[in-house]
Amino acid sequence: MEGLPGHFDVVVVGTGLVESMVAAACARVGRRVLHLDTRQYYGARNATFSLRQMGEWLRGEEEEAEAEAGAEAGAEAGAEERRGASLAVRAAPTGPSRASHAGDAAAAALFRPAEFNLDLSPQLLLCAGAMIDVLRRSGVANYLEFKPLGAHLYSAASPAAQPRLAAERVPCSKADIFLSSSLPLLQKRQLMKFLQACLARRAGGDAAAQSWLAGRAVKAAAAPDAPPPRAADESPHGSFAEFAGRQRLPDALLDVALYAILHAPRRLESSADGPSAEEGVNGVCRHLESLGVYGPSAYLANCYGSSELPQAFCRLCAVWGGTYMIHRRVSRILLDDGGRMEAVVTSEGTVRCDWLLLNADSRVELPAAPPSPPAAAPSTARCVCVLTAPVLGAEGEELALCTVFPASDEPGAPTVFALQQDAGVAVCPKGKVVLHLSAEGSAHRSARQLLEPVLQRLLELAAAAVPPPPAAAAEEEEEREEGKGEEKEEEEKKEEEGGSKKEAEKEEEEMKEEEEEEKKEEEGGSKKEAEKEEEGQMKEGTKEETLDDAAAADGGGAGEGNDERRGGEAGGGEAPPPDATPALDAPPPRVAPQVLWGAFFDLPLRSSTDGSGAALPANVLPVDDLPFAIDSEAAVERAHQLFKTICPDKPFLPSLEEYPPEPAVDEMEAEIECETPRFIDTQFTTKVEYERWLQSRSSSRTSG
Amino acid sequence: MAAAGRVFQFKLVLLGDSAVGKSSLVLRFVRGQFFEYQESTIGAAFLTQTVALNDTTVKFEIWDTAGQERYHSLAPMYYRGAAAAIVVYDITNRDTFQRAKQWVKELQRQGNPNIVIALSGNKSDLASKRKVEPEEAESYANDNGIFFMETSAKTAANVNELFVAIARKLPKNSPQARPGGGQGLVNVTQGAPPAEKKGCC
Ligand SMILES: Cc1cc2nc3c(=O)[nH]c(=O)nc-3n(C[C@H](O)[C@H](O)[C@H](O)COP(=O)(O)OP(=O)(O)OC[C@H]3O[C@@H](n4cnc5c(N)ncnc54)[C@H](O)[C@@H]3O)c2cc1C
Ligand SMILES: Nc1nc2c(ncn2[C@@H]2O[C@H](COP(=O)(O)OP(=O)(O)OP(=O)(O)O)[C@@H](O)[C@H]2O)c(=O)[nH]1
Ligand SMILES: [Mg+2]
Repeated sequence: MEGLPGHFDVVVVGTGLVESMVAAACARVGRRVLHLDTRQYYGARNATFSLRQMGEWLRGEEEEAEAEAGAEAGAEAGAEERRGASLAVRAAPTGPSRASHAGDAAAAALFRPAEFNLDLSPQLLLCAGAMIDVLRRSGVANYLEFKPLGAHLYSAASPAAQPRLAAERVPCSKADIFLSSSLPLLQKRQLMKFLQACLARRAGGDAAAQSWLAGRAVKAAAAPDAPPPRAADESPHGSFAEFAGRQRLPDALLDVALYAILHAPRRLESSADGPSAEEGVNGVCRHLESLGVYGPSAYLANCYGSSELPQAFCRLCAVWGGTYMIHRRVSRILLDDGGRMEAVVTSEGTVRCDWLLLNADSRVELPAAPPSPPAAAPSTARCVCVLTAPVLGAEGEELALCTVFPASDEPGAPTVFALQQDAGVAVCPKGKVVLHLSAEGSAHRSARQLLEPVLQRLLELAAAAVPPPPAAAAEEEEEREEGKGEEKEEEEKKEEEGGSKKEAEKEEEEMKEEEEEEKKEEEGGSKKEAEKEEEGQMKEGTKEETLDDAAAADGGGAGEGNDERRGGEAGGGEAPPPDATPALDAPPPRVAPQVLWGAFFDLPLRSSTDGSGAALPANVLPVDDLPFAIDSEAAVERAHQLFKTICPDKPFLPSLEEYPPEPAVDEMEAEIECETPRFIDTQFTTKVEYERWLQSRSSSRTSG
Repeated sequence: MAAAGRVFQFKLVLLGDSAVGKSSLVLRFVRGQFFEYQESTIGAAFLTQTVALNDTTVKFEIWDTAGQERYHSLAPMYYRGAAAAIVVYDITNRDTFQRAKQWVKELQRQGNPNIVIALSGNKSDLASKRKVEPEEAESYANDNGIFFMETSAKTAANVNELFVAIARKLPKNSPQARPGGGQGLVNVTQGAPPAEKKGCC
């Protein structure tokens, strides 16, 4: 192995999205970057795993292996101890907490594990957002492949603790709003007015509102760096909910704006809570600008899993001279007399550096820091499962996002984001789908307790949408009633209590709605709710059968795979074999989805300093875990901030035109002449080449 | 030229130790250039070059390692969807030949099962310092079902031939190995497209 250079401008530890963007941005403007990751894989919290890797990660096997490696690295660091002061850096746990998963054995029998790309933190890209802009400008988009989201849905909450899951399209474009079958006419008008009001409050807002009204795409208002163009007194003040109140937006539509468009993570505690009016208005506008840019919805997904994003930025960094060492770590930070970091000890030797970025896979041992507080750490609750059929979206819309609103009578209840992916984005074999559920974690409820009811509801709803053989339907109903006594788990009980408020079978609802559309529009929502309660009671049986289904997949996998379950409760005793399910007999095209493999886990949001970041040397920058977000906008913002700290006067991931490479050091290339092969198109290989191209361009421009 | 029938696009990756001449091979093939003092790949990213065969056109999307292989830290995205790989060693350095064998092994174990692998013994102009005999490499290649050529990025010997040979071997019947057969992919690299998708009149 070659020796490592003794000095770098920036050492980055961790290959998560934020760290990788900063590494790429620094290398791009000529900084010498060393990029490490303590793990064997790229992505950190943005990693994408095969089924086997995911199983290992969930069981914590990786941690055990690392612990051994860590002991070694520690000894080595000790040997290098110098006179000066230093800080030890430990490997922090990267695994989940309260994890439970099942189905390994079943899945292993059916697939090659490598056929799956399962995200730890699934993400979408907002079409008019900062991430797409950066990807396009920097050329990183060249390494990636994108598909537009097929369906953007939401599912409102009912007053009881149960989400109402009949998924509806998020109405945004003028056409969507007019075509919506669920919105009464009055609300359609109110929503139109509100969205126009939001657009009008932005720069060039009047033009934007006009073009939106005409059904055309809305142009992005301003470059991200540009200052807000409107005078302060004209910009909306207070919270977004208050702003919406002033615009007379009814509560049901405020929910749509807050949870399905702005993706607020939890039910507002009060109307003063949540995003500010300005943030909210900007978010809504950004969403409207994203519509119709690349597809009907506001989002794109990238193929092969979300870890491709950090990997692509790492490649950009490498292309601009960054040095890559995966599965290596920084074990010690060496300080100068003034308390600044001057060098780090890595597994390949000591390197001097000006800046150090540390993600939360490392933890700095700060002498002054109080013992880490036992207070409940924030987390993200996650569920990943492999299903036999889609639960969201119509035919051809398998790539779908559905926001399940937080319970409206429970302030602080989490919003659940359901992202369904299929083989079209190369995350699973054809005919299967991967379903991700994500929500803000809770100290009191595990991911499983939080998300399993939502998963069951989605499965149930999809099963109900499958047309049953007409004659058999009534009998099935009875059978299911009988099987009811076997329920054990607590959350299931809870669910039954709430069950009386449950929504109708989708099909029926749709039919009724068609008939009763006008009536409802006049009477408002109240009658509809009542109807649904009735219908909900009639349909009670459906749920149980799917619960048993999942338990079967769950329990079966646990038995066969000998999975060690850590923390999470097991899947509920003996369950009937899945093929006892009548819904399985349903004919194609849509079959009732079943869970083949599934996992629930909490992802703790960690900090490399346990929150005492102030005690770090000024040139050591912690990159704490970001809370879950369905898009990568927050990651771009964080990366931008960090970059500005390191390189205050350089552009962030610029285009080649905007920021040509730093001049090459030596001009002594001896080019050997030879006939040039015919080539049709090409891009640049080296900085030198690019410069020549630029020169030739500018000279041809001046002469021409 | 435009009449050359169907156009196929394939991703081609280069593997091999540092300084064996990966970037030089690409540069020679794509640009017809050679630099005696080729700096260790900086700024090299993503090149395309088109080879015209009799009735078809093969467009190579060439990925250079950008140095990520130096500490065995290549990202999986590098291999993903690669239809062809050129594993390069330096005929004046035996260690690089041993490493090349390891890359071949890894490709055959982890890569696309239909991947076309070419082994290139580079720097054939430096025959006086040769440490690896062509016969040895040839028999290794035969045993492993891959094909072998000695090349020189400096003199251009066999460079075009190498790429043309790969282009010939690539299966032209299957659509490119893209998710969902490449359907519905969105190109975000060329600015926002004309977004007249949803006019409702
Ligand atoms: C040297 C090397 C190192 C690698 N290191 C890593 C690593 O560190 N981490 C990692 O995650 N991956 C690694 N890979 C794996 C690489 O990323 C895989 O090629 C990739 O995951 C496969 O995705 P693909 O879509 O490109 O399919 P390809 O492999 O290109 O295959 C094309 C098509 O064939 C199908 N297919 C492929 N193999 C089979 C099969 N055996 N049976 C049936 N169908 C098949 C695929 O589903 C796909 O549709 C490595 C590969 C190589 C060569
Ligand atoms: N004599 C001779 N020198 C060559 C040949 N090919 C490459 N070189 C020289 O070998 C050195 C390394 O070549 P590169 O193309 O940078 O090698 P690389 O494999 O891309 O190296 P990394 O980017 O560091 O992985 C350069 O100095 C080249 O000039 C060749 O065919 N003959
Ligand atoms: Mg190179």
